Amino acid sequence: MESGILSRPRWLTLGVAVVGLLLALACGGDKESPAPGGALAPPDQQQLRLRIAGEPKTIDPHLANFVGETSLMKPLFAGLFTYDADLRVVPNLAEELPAIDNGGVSKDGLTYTVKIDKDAKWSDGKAVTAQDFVYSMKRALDPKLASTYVSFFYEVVGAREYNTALGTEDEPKTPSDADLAALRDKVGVSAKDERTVVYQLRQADPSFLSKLALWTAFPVRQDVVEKHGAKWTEAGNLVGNGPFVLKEWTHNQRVVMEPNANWQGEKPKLTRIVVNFIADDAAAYAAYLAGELDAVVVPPPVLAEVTAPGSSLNAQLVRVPELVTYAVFMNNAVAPFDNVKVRQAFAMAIDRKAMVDGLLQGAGRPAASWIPPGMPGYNAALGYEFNPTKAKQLLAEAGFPEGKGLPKISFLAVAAPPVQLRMQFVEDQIKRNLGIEVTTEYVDPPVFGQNFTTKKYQAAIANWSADWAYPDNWLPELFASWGGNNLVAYKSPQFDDLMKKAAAETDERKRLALYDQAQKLMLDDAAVSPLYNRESYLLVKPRVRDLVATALDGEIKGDYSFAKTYIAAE
Amino acid sequence: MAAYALRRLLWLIPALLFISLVTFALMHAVEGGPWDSERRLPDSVVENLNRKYGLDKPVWRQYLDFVANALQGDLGISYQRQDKPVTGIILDGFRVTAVLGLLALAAATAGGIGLGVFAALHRNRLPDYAGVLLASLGSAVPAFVLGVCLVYIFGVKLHLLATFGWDTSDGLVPGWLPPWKQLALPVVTLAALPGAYLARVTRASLLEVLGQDYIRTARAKGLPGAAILWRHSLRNAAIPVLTVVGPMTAALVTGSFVIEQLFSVPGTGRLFVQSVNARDYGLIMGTTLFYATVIVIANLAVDLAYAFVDPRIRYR
Repeated sequence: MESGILSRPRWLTLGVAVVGLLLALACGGDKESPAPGGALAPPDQQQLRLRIAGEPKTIDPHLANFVGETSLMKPLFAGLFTYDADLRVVPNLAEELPAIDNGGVSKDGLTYTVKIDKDAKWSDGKAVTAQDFVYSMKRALDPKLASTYVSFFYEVVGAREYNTALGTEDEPKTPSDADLAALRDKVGVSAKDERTVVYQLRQADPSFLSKLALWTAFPVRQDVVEKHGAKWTEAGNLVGNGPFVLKEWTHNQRVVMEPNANWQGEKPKLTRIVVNFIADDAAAYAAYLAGELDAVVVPPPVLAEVTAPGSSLNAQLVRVPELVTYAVFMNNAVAPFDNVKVRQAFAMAIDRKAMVDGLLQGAGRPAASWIPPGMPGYNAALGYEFNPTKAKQLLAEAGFPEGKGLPKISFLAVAAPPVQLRMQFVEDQIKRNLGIEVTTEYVDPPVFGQNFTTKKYQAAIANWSADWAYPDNWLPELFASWGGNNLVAYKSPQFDDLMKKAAAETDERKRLALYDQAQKLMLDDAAVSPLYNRESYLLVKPRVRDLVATALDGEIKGDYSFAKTYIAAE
Repeated sequence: MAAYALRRLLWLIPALLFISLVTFALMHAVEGGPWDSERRLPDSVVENLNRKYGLDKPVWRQYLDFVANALQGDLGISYQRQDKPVTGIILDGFRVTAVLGLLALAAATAGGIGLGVFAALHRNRLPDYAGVLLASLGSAVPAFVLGVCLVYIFGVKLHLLATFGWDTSDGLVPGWLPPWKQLALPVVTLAALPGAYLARVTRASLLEVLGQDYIRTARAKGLPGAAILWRHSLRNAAIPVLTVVGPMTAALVTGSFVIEQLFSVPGTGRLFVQSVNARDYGLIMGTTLFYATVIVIANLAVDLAYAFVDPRIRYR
C-alpha cells in the first residue's frame, strides 16, 4: 500500500508543493473588512484560536529547550522581568529594574537585589515569595533534572559547580546525595526576606537581567512539583503565576488557557486561548482560510500569492522580523576553508538579495553582517557584499584560479525541503560566480547535529538565533576560542582579547564599541558568511487587536502580548 | 485450529525478541543521538541527560534493561514527550488510529466490494467502465492530493466540514468518535486507496468465478440469479479479496503518516517517523514492537478467516 516508511518524507516534499499550488488558488474570496474603531466584542467572543506544529515536549519552564515550547509558558508563568515590544528588559513581577543608581545592583556589578511586587500571586491565590525564586533557580540547575537550557546561568556563584557535579561523559563523577545538597546550598541565590531575592554573580554579566527574563528563570511551586512529580504540568495540577491558567491539555490535540483571576497585572480581555497542534503548515493555512484559526504563519509556497498587491489577504498581513541569521558556516580548520582568501571569496560569491527576493519571496532581509538588526551591536556596514569579480580574484590569489586545484567541497545540510531549496541556490551561486562545483550531503537533523557540532564537516548552512538580544549571545559563544558553539573553528587571539575586554567593561557604550570591533574582525576574516536575517509573515484576522509580535517570540508570534490582545466588535 | 492459532501466537515471542534486538542495534548504530541538534550543548548538560535516561551505561546493558522492563509491560519513557511512558503514548494513539482505520476499512470494504461486484455484473458496459475509471483514479491519486482537494472544497470553500482535528470529548460517541464534521474527511481520504484496490480485485475475482463451469451449471439448473451470486459466486470470489483485506487491515489500523499529518489526527501513524527523526529511543522500540505484533496478529486472523470461507483449507 505504501512504498515503505523511509520513502514517506519524499512523498511529503511533493505533497507540500501540491498543497501550496492548490491553496494558492484558494486565496480569493476571503473578504473580511477590518472593524471600524476598536470596541471590545462581548466576552463570549473573546476567543483567540492559534496553532503550534505539534504536542509540546514539555511546558515545564525548567525543562524547555529552545523557543519551541516557550509560547505556551509565557502566558502561564511570569518571571521577575520580561521584554517590551522593543525588546528592552522591563519589570514583570519585580517592582523596578535593578540598577546601580537605585541600589538594586552593587557597584562591582556582582550582587543583584530584586524586590517582588507585593500583589504577585500564584493562580491558587498564594503569594509569590522570594523563596519560590530561590527554589526555582536551584531546581533548574539540579543536574538530576537535566535541564538543557541553563548553562547561561553559570555566572551565578556556585551554579556551574552544582550543574556539572555529574561530570562529563569522559570524566563522570559520582557525588553522594550529601555532596549534591552541599553544592546546591552554595548556589548564589537567596531570600533576604519574603519579597526580596538576591543573586550573587561570579563576574559581572551585562545580560543578567535579560537572562532573568527567560523562561528558565520563571518560578515554579515547590509543593506542586513535589506533589505531582512529572505530571505537575497537567491541567488541573499546574499552578502558575502568569496572566492565564491552563484549563485543558488534550494531548496531541490542543491546549486551552483562560484568564488567571489572581493575576496582579492588567486583566486579560481574552476569555479563552485555544492552541491547536497542527503539524502541517498547509493544513494550518487552510484552517485559517476556513475561519478555524485567528492567526497563522504564511507557509513559503503561498507567500508570493498572499503578498501580491491584489491579494485580499494583504490587509491581514503582519511582517515579523526575527533575531535569526542564516549563514554559510565554513570550517576554518579544514581545507580549503583554512585559507582566509577562499572564505572571503565564498562570502562575496553569493547574491543575497537575489536569494531573499527570488527564493524567499521577500521574507527575509539580506545580511552580510552577523548580528541582526533590532538588537544592540547591529552594524549594516560590516561584512562582504556580493562581488563576483573580486571573489574570483581572491580565489586566484589563494592559489586556485577558477577553482583549479581546489579539493572537493562538500556541504552538509538537513534533508528538509526548505533547506534543500536554499542549498541548491547556494550551490548554483558558487558554480556561477566562482566556477566551482560543490556537492551537498543531505542528512536527517540528528546526523546533521552530530557532525556539525563536532566539526566533522567542511561547510554547512545553518542559522543562529538569539536567546537574548545582546552581542554576548552572538560573538563569544560562536567565535571565541573557548566558545561552546565555535563550530567554524575560528581562532583569533585578537578576537579573544576583545571578548575578554568587553566582558570586563562596565561602560555600556565602550562595551558595544569593543563588540563592534570584534564583529568587524571576525567578518573581515570571513569566519562565517551571513546570508540573510529571517523574517516571517503572519496572517491575523482583522478582529484580533493588539497581538504584538516581537523578534524574540517563540513558535506563536505575539506570545508576549496575549494579556493585552482582544477581539474587536464586528 | 485452536492449537494452530496458539502455536502461531507463541512464535510471536522469539520474533519480537529478534526484532527488538535488531532494532536496538540499528538505532544505536545510526549516527546522531537524541540530544544532537544544530547547537552544541555543554558536555556536562549532555552527561546530565545521559545519566537521567540511563544512556551512560554500555549499550548491551541498556538492551538487557529494556528487555527486563518490557517483560513487565514497561517499554520505557519518551524523551520527546516529557518522559511519558511509551506504552501510554502508543495505546492512546492506537485508540484513535484503530477507530479511524476500522471506519476506513468499513468504508473501503463496503464501497470497494460493492463497486467491484457492480462493475463485474455489468461487464464491458458503461457502469463497468465508470466503475473501473473511478477505481483507477482512486488508486492513482495520492492521499495527500485527495485530502487537500477535499479540504479545499468542503472546508475552505463550502465551510461544511472541519479542516483539522479529532476531538472525541464532544463527539458522536464521546471518548471514541469525534463529531462527523471532523470524521468525514480523514475517513474518506484514508479509505479511497484501499477501496479502489478492493474494487479492482473484487471485479477481477468475480469475473473469473462467473466464467467457471459450475456457475454455468447452476444457471442451467435454473437457480435464481441472487442465489448464484450470493451462494456460489461471491463466496468463491472472496478468497483473493480476503488475502488483500488482511494486510490492508494491518496497514489501516497502524495508521497513515500522511492522513494523520494532514488532518491533525492524534494517532500512532506519525509516531514512528517522528521518533526516528528525534532519536527517541524508547518510542522507536515501542512503536516497532507494537507494529510487529499488530501485523502478526492481522496475518493470523486472515489465515483463520480462509478456513471459514473455504472448507478445503484446514489448519493443524
